[in-house]
Amino acid sequence: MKSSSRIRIIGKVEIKSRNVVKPIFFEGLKKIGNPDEIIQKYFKNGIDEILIVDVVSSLYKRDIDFEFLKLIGRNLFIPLIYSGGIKNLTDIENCLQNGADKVAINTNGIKNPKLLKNSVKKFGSQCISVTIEAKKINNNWLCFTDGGRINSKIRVTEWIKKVQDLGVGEIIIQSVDCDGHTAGPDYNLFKKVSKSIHVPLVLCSGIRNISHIKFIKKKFNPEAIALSSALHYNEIKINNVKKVL
Amino acid sequence: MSQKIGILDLRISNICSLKNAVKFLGYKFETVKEDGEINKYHKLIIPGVGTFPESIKMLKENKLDLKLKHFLKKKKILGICLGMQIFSKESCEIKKTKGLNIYQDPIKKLKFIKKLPNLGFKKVKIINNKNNFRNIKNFSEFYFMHSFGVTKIKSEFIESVLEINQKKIISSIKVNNFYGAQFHPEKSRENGLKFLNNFLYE
Repeated sequence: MKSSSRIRIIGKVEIKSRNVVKPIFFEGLKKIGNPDEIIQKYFKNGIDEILIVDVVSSLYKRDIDFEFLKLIGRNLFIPLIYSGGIKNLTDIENCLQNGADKVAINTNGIKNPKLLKNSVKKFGSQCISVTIEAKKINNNWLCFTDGGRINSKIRVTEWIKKVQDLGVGEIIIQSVDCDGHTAGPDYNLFKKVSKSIHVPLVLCSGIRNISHIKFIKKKFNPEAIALSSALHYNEIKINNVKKVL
Repeated sequence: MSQKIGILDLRISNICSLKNAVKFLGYKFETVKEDGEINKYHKLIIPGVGTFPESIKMLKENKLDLKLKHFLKKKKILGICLGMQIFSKESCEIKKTKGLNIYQDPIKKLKFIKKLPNLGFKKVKIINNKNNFRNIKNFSEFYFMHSFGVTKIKSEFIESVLEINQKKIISSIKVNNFYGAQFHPEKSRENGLKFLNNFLYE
């Protein structure tokens, strides 16, 4: 029997003030419900991992809500990735001490790439993921920070090369223009990034139905996909996704 | 007298996840810092995450390398992920670093895997179902999160293997009183909880 190398399914759960929310184009938050209940539901339905994103902690420079993280992790026996406002090694240590198994970094990694280098050295590649919030401006894909609000002016392809050199263990690609929207994923972005990534790749934003997923598997064959609206609004069942991956 | 379980906290591991799982299974435990007393425990678990040189440095600074070896003479330890690797002869992660040498095989980078780290739920082939795999079906899924591992070891030590691209990763071992798991039982749903329970059950 061959070992499974199925594409992983990650449930992306965006949080603001201890509520699950869904931003549309990274803005205009819609309240979805109670995080513990929602995450437990996805866990019981067979999701592989949970990615928690605090959508405002970078923007408002808030402290990470470790107590909340602890609450979420209590009965969750699958990996929990925390993302949002991670500034330094102590933040990562505190995430791990409070229920996270990995962290994902965007804003403060762009501001201070040394943070990525030092965290890989201390916690290992497998613990450090990078999130990219990509937006197309004048035909260039650029990295945005602070929940898709601020243009770093760094090209996505350049940043991908850099973070891989720094040793991060995974890259999560999100599209500011497609996230939370019903028009489907940004295949041009996926095409642009997937060839240059030699660490595990997570594709995200706008994946709303099984045919999107089949197409992604066929064309880009990433290591994982991340779903949020599709799960929040019961558009697809995790079991059915597993069948096609 | 009920057994005392210790969880070693090296402050670079996902310790909370492990504590959650042990608590869920209904066991009482204490966390013990690197400078703490380990002898009062009957069983010890060492969680993973972190890098090999960083962990060994922390162990040595506190003479924990010697204390752990002494502990193993009479009592059981479960090492998870990096917690399994530090008991090897040596590792090439970042720089060549000597381990605790409980098994005399090196930790190698898993170059035959196209994209590292090796992440996700993977089906493992159970070689010995008498110890921690009691009541767990062959080819059950366990969660992996690593770039380095054991690829060769004396066959008598092997408890399970993970096959990728026709190559083998030794996914769990038992070397006398030392039990090692490359996967994360605390993050492997019901199978992982069963695995932990089999180790903890008296």
